[in-house]
Amino acid sequence: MRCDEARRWLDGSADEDMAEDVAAHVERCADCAHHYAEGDRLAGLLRSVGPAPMERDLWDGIQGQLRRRRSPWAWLLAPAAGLAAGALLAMLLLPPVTPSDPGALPEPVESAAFPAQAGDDPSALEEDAQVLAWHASAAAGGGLVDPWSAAIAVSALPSGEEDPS
Amino acid sequence: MSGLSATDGELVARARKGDVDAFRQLYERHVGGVYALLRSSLRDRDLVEDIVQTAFIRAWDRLARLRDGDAFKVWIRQTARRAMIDEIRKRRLREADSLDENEESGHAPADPAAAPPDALTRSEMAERVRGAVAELPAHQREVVTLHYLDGMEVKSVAQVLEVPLGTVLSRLARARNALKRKLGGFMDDWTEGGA
Ligand SMILES: [Zn+2]
Repeated sequence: MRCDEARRWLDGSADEDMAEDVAAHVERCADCAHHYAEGDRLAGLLRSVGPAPMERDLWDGIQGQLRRRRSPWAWLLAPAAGLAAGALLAMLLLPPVTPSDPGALPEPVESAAFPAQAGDDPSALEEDAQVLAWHASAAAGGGLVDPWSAAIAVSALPSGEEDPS
Repeated sequence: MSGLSATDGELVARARKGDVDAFRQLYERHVGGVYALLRSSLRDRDLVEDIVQTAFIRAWDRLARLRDGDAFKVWIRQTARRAMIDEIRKRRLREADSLDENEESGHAPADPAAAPPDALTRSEMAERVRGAVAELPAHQREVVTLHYLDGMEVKSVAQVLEVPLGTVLSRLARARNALKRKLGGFMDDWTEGGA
């Protein structure tokens, strides 16, 4: 694809069939990438507007939850961890992730994510343990928890594309 | 406090060690973009606020698994969007669909191009433009919000949405065509002075 074709597409044409070709060109061509980043009057208008402001600061609610955890590793020390020791080990064995590696990103965590009652949350640590136990039992077919198979199963879980419940 | 100018990567490194203040700075830096992204799909403000909180708590729990701390901007939006998808499935919400059918009346303007820009305050202008974005189909709202309103590069948008770059570009192209129609002369008049 030539630059003029790519730019004509970027500037208005929306032929779905050409999208991948244009994307491939923009990946390679710094000039067209710059052209696109600079934008036009519409881009300028949208950027000048920015996102709608939030109406409420949510930090207090978040901080309250963080205090219960104390540190990212606090849950390791919780008694509830004993419920799913194999799964906890599996979490430790998981490789670190980057956003460009969607397959390995945080998998859906159902019960820990949305407490049933905002005013009376069950223990977050307990919830995490339950979720980990669920992953472990899913990995081991409901039977023996094997850290390695649990690790493989957890990392292979779909990224929010399926509801495992 | 030199912390205010710290990079996301530096703040992530501190937060990993349990530094809540560092995590608060990450929150303050990114909560607006996360909120806007979720609001581009969901009209229930309370639900969006719940998911925003969930996303940041989930991120705190999983900071150790983020290899590149400077990728926090993409990662937190991706985490929030996944939390939203989980929640949509769970509650069987059809918010985005109903928005597509223009049943939403909360923040859609009657006609974005009706009044000349010089008669509008800046906040009125912003409301009209956001209203035009709100009338787009859900997929287009997301890319416009991330790329234009939140200022993310198209490659980062593709990462957040977990779709190919070409998909982002084609959604943006269609959204741009629609917005040009909706905002028309309003756009020309408004941006002449600034361009
Ligand atoms: Zn080019």
